[in-house]
Amino acid sequence: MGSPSDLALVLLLQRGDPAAFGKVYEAYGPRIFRFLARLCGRKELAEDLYQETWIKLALHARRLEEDTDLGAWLYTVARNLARSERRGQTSRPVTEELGVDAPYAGASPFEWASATETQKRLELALRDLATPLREVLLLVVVEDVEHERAAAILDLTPEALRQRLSRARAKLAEALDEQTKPGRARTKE
Amino acid sequence: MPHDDPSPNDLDAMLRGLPGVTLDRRVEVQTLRRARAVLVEEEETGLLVGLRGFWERAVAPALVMGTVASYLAWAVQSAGSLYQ
Repeated sequence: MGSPSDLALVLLLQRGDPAAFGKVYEAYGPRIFRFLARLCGRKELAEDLYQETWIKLALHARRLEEDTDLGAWLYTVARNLARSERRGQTSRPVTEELGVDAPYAGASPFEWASATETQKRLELALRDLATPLREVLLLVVVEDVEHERAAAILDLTPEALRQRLSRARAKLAEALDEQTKPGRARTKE
Repeated sequence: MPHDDPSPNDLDAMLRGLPGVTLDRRVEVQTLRRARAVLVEEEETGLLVGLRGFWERAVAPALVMGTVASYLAWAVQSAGSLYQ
């Protein structure tokens, strides 16, 4: 269920109001891009999927239900686009070859240079997690999406979400631990 | 999990502290331009659909009714003139 401010925006979007579209973009744009960049691991791909997400909103604006939760709607579309893209891929993204000294593909060289060592280790450990585990951490922890909404976005029951979240945290902790071992082996998906 | 691993709370705090990911201005401009073009296109499509609906619901039936009424009037008039 969308918030009261979402309802006002949805009603305007149903009329194709460009100003309302701009407000939704302003409210959710940075979050959706951050989610996509870390989910895809490739900046160019994240940019393409980001554009597609907003074009889908423009296409569906007039057919949105009044109780649409715009944030959840956008995360769902972004996540589904990323899933479709992965299904079409035959090999791992180029970031697979990147070492610990190279930026994760969602970050610019400047962002990477300004990150602390711990943040770099965490980004790399996150990048190497299996996608279902990465997406639950990105949504619930990084993006701070409530459990109920995250379960709806990921098409999971609340209990399945809780279990997956717990597994994701454990795997991430393991991956971080691996990184500190001498001659560590990188975790593969 | 080894005892010196970060706790779930520590992990969550670390994840929340990750730096932002900046979207290029060029991508932002392009995204908004494309999305707005779609919004306008949808509006035009919506108008056309609305016009077609109006035609189908109101104008076309009225024309048919008008034609039928004219035909009936003509038929009645013709029949009347035959009896005169």
